[in-house]
Amino acid sequence: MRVRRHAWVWAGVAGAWLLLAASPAAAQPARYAVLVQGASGEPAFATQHRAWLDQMVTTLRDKFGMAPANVIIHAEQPRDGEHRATADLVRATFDRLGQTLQPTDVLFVMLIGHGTGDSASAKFNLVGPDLTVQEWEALLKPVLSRVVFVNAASASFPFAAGLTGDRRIVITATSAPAQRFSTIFAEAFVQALNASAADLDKNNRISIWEAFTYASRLVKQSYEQKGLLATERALIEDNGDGVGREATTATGEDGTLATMTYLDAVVEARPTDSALQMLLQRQEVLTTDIDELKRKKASMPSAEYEAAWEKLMIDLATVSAEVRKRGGGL
Amino acid sequence: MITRAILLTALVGVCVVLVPPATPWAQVAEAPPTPDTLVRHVRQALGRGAVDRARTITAQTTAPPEVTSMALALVEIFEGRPTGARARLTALVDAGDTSDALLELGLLDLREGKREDGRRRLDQLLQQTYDMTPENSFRMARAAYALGDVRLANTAFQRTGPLPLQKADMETTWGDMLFEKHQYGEAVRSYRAALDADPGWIRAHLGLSRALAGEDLVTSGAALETAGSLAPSHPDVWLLTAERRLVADDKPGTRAALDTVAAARPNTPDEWAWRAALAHAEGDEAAVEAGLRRAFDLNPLFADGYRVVGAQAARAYRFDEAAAYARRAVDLNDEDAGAHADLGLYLMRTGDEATARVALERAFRLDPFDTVTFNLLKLLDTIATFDTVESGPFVFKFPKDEAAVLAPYALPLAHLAYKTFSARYGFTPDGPILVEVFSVHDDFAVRTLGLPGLVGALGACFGRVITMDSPKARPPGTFSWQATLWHEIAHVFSLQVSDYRVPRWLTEGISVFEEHQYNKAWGRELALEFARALSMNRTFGVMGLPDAFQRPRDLSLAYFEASLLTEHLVSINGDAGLRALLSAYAGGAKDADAFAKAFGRSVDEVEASFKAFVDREYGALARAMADPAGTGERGGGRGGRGTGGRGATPQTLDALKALAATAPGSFVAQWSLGQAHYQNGELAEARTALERAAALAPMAHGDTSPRPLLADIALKESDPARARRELREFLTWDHDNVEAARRLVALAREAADEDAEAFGLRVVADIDPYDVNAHVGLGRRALARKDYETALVELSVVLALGPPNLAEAHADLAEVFLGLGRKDDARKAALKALEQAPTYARAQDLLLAAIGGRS
Repeated sequence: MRVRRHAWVWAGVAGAWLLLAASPAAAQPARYAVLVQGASGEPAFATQHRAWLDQMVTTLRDKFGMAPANVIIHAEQPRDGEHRATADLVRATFDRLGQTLQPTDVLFVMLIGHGTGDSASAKFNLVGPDLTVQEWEALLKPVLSRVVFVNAASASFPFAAGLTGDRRIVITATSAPAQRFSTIFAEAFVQALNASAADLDKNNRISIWEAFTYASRLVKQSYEQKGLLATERALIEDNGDGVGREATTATGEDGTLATMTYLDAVVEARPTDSALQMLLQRQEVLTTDIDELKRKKASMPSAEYEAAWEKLMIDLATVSAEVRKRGGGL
Repeated sequence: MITRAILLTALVGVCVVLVPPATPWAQVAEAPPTPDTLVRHVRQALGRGAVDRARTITAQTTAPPEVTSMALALVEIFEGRPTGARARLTALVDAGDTSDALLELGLLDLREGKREDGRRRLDQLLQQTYDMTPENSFRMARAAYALGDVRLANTAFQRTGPLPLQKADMETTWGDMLFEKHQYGEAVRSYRAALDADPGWIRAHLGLSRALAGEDLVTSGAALETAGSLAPSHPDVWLLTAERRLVADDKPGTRAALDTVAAARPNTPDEWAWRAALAHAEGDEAAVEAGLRRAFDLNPLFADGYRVVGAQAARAYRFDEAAAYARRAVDLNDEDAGAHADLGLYLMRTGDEATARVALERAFRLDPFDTVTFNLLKLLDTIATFDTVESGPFVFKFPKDEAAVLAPYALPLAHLAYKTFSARYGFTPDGPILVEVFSVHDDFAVRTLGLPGLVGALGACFGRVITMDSPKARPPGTFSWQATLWHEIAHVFSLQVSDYRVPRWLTEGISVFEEHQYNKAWGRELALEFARALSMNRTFGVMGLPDAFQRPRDLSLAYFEASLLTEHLVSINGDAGLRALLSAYAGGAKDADAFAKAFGRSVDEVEASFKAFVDREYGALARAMADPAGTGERGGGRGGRGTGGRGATPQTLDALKALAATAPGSFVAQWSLGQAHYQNGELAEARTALERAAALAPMAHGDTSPRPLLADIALKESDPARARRELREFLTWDHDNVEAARRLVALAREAADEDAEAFGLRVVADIDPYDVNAHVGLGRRALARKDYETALVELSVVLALGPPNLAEAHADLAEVFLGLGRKDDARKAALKALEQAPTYARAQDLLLAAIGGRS
């Protein structure tokens, strides 16, 4: 049975506190990124796509602290330290990563540019021969780590079904074969990773789910403000069934893995203050109680639930304020 | 009064298709009538308005007496001699005629109010069993149409095959039925088919003229002219002419036209109904009743009599009176669907939607094929889903998903307008004032006119009812819904103060003037176009304005110039002068008397002083907008006429430099030179020329303004502060340019220029109130300066729109409530934030603050 997404959100937060409170320092998972800026077709797109690529590089390196060497760049016009966005060189990158990445690691892949075709023939346009969705799947196969694959190009919809798999989050800029016009999802996704408003649960981190939903909103807003019919609606697929969902779709079970996946590193702390340790333990108990209360919500009279909720919130707020006062973070 | 048909003008410009000159029927070679074809030839001659020919061929025929008698009856009906016609037709029917004579006698019965006799005869005709020849199908169609069986009539029209000599008649009658059901496009098709069959068919020209009147006045007028040229004495031509003259408020012309009708076809109910309408326009109630009595003497069930007068009252915005006439029409003939439909329409315009629905439902039961009735009922169903917000003298109705976004801004603005105008006009209008806001433009159009379309209109006012597009009805940045609301509320005052007698030029002039009084950019969107017209002596002047409002192509500039005239009138004698002017109109005065009473000046004197006013206020701008070299070049546009946006050739640039040097006061010359330099990458030179252009026409809008280009140059020269200044100055005039406002916000954010950001955000939120980020920005800024009331409005709208971050939005509101001392609301808002994000430190702190020491 699948766990509902909201419960996972909570579990994720609770897990973070557990680390903060008691765990010994664990080895940080390695984080890698492969950013591919494909063939642009015309100068205006070349400028635009390069700008988005640069913004993403800056975000990964500066905001999320990803090691520069782990951010592998394939560009239409590569600069120093970058690779050309050709099929052969991309293949070589994934060959190396397949041998390097461990199951606990995270690989972020983002394709910026144009795509063509539909279903099995879908391609991402590279410099020279393109790679089809099956070829991308073949490239990912040896990679054991968790994979976040964002195809921000036009005609990217088939990649959701084509790349689905265990421990994989696939995001496509489009949600139907007919959506073949140039896209702006890449820009929106970069903005989302940098927007504090994207942090829906206010844990000071932006999960892939949060970035996806916020970026989807930005795309929708952009078309609306121009008075245009939206020609792209992004999709996320992370439960392995190959059927994605849009950010605003009420149904669909995708999003669970994305909610727990971040591109930044977990900040660990080892409190030595015993009073702080006690407060953190109290926080943990309260979060468990809150989680329990939420599970019971459907079976409780609403007034009773609200009273219990308010009491727990006040208790948690009081404890958390004390934790913060003692320099304990959240 | 419908607001600003700027787009309509353009549409009409595109759509004008002149009717090809008709072939005079007399030039068509025709076979002489035989005894078998006499009646058809007489119908054809009458259809062409050739009553003499109809008489001649009847006199010359060798046809049997019963055929001749039928032909003569048709002539007598045409000439308005029903007594003789009735005698002939009755004799024919009594002798066993169950075709033409029975039909014509049944129709004559109905026209004379002998409803039961008419129905009996037409039913008899319909219930006969006979071959469905084209002639029989056409008779069946006419009978069914007269009996109100639209479905049967339509089927019969469809099944009517080749109909020698009668095709034009059939298509015209079909067109008339479709026109009556407001299916104008289909009606036009029928009329055109009639004219294809017989270019001389007068009723087809007239039908075409009526059917096109709503969308293409030029072609409509041409069709009437063609009819008049083909049949100069045709009574139907003059009846339509009378209608047109009355609509144009040409009372002598109306009377003369009706006299011509009477000469050709004396003493008909239609003539008397229109004489009653004319009397209504002249304010002569006794003559109205006298005219109607004459009409009812001829047809006691002639509900159209009241309907025609009611329509005249409605044209004069006297909807209560219009509804009263429609009620009398209903009382006279409860089975007249059109009367019930009129009643429903007029009641909607008075704001009484509940009673309107009853009338419209009755109309629909009687005639389910009337498009307007159907549309209005469907619209009332839509309005029933709206949120109603009552506030002081106003009752607002908003679509459910818009109420929470628009009401917080619309209500205060409406109250401010009400207060402002109450003071200026010294008047408290009758209320409540119903304001209905539609997120679908066609709903607005149906609410306003009963039919979709009305492309160029943004709002309308019926005296106590305002209808308008919501910002959702059009792409963002297309218009200012607040300016529309202000404009329409001004109409409420000018219409009511004048007892609905204010001429159109003045009520529109006042509304645009009031816009400008409130916001210097509102109502001045066409300043450059006006100046250009002034430079070419193409403005209208006081005496030309009323006619300009009749011409779609001139409408936009007419609005503008009327507002200038209002401004001038206020400059003569202040608000008191304006009040006196409106009071004079309320007392029935016309322009000359009204000007004399309000300003002690004749129209000529006002004309002269207005000219001086315009020259003083707009003379410099007109000189700047004048064609600098007689090239016919108009104001500049981005992308560059002449250079095609590819950079100016040396020759072009030299020519532009020379032109700019010889015409330093020409906006066009400076703007063109600046643009050419810009495209060549010569930024400093471009800036100099564009600065000159901006100084010459600071109020330039959109693509005609040099300021966006100056902003581009500033950015290229790494001077973002200058770019922000240029955009801000641009937006003070181009007040609904949401794209420029968003650009300013982005630049201001980069530079932490809070003042510019706030300015830009306000423009964005005003023009595109669905931009949640603008409200977030405005709300948080208000919160930061502890302006909690403003923050509450903005942040409540944020929640209504669906914020990007729900936890943050609730926390923002919690902070606002704390600032307002509303601790319990703050507690609830903080808990809502925590429901989204239980570990949200800010919300936790707000919760603790809200409960104080309670924990």
